[in-house]
Amino acid sequence: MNALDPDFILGHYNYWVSIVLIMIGLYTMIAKKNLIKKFIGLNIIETAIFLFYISLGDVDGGVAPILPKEGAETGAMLYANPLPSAMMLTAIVVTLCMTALALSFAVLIYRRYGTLDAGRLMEEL
Amino acid sequence: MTPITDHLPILVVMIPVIAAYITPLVGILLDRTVKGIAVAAVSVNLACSLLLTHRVLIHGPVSYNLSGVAPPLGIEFVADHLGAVLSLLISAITLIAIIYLQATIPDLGRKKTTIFYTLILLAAGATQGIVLTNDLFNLFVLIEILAIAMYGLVAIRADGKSLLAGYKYLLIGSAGSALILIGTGFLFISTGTLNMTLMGEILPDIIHSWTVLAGFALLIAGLSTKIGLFPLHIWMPDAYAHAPSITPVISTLALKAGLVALIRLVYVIFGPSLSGEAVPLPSVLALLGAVAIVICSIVALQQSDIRRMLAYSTGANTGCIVLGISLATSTGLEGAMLHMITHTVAKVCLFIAADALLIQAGIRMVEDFRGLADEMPYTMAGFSLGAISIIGIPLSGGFMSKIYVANAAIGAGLLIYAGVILFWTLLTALYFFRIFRLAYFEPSHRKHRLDEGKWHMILIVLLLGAASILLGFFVEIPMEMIRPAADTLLGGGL
Repeated sequence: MNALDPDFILGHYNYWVSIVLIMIGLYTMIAKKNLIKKFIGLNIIETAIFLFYISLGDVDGGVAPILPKEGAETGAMLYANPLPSAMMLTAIVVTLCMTALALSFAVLIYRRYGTLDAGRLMEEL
Repeated sequence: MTPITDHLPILVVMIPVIAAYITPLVGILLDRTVKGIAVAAVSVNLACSLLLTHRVLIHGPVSYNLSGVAPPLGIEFVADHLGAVLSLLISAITLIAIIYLQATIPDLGRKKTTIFYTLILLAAGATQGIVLTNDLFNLFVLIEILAIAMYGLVAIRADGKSLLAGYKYLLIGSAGSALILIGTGFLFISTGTLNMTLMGEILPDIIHSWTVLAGFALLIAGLSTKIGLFPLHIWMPDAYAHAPSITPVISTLALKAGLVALIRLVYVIFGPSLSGEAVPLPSVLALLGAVAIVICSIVALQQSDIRRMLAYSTGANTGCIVLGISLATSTGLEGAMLHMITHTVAKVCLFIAADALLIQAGIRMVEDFRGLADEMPYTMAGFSLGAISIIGIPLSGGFMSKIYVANAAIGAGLLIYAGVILFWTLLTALYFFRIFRLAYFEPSHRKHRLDEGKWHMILIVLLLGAASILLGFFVEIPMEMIRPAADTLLGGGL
């Protein structure tokens, strides 16, 4: 398997997308001055990780891993791996908590200092 | 029906977490009962940790499958010697912190009492979980629970500076968590399992895969933010300086839990594969540890705020533990684990003493220590005992653990790291002797007499100070508990 093979590159496009998204998120976190934008960057990274995990669990032509009814034809069925999706449900909840916490911090900081500019705020610290 | 003692590993984790759910509900109606619930929960937790440690010391490691589903499918908790001893340490220190907390509450405002106890209980439960879990994704979730509790504890005052320190911690910590999550994914696709022991069995065959190496690097980088390893320690000084003073105490425990996760990552998951020298991991970690020791100590020397100084000192001590872990010899690992215990006891003593000084005398800066030994002799005595252990003056607890790590470095032929530890001891002595000189040999300029405060504050400080010294005399007691842990971890083939 050659990493420069066009089929390899195109066949794994979902992984490439998640890498690009992680880079965009990282750039946003570092380059943007606004505290909320910084956290949006982190949210982009987290979303890219969800995409990455869901891609891991997917199987070409696989169906949702739900137990079929009694007597249904099951022999030829191909299932996606349910574990990464289950893990991501947990991770989504965790990210949601972090986002809520960060936004409430940002609201309080704005009330106190009247700005969300990281450069000016870090001088206060 | 199995006896309740079979469920000890999960009880140790769930008792504080369940109490953390109850406290906000009760706290709305009856503000005063919250403290009782917290003390009761942590006491029961301490009893469970004691029973668990007793069981582990007699019968060996205990494995516990959640919901009774065996490892490849289910989540496994393993209480080995390391986990059990750390769990005992965590519940004991949390109990001390919660008892001490009464002194801080008036300073913090009555309204925050319930939130404070809830967050501490949540942090305690998550920390216990991190030292006991044997499942990589479970580890991630527990680290996040701990992180949310810690961010709350840092910013609980909700004044400007503590919020900024909290936000800084939150950004760095969340980025670290994201790295841990990606790393977990990489190892999961490579091995098809999340159980650390099973991963350790599968990895030697595929250790040369870039996916595995990248996953490992991401996990180490992510954990570094959690344990405050240089250069990712930058959240620590701000968080410690502006948070209420119990936060650094709980944070000291959280850092130790992160270090346990690092030990498991290096030895349980990658241990068997490291024998082939596929990864230059030991040398990288040792270098990071040594750099952390030197730079954090030099920066600590320049601090005028006592809490910032202690935070940088913690950064240096983390470096020492990482150095001990990286040496991959039984002496090094034992030294690292012993240093986790001695440093926790001594540093918690220092933080609590610093808090007592802040509440009773309003002391924040090193300059204010002038003549303090005459006015608050007992608190200052406790502070000095803790400082002696942190410096590593012979016969104290810190001395014994530093000697173990230095010995291991010499044993591994890395004299330079033994030199680093010696240099570090000198630097630490410098910044604590500055305080000793001001406190014991300079006259006070204060107009009014200072009061030592409530007896339980003094008692806790003196008790922790004495414990940090006595650990040096009775070093065999923790060592006997730790030694089997080092043997098991290294038995993996390193």
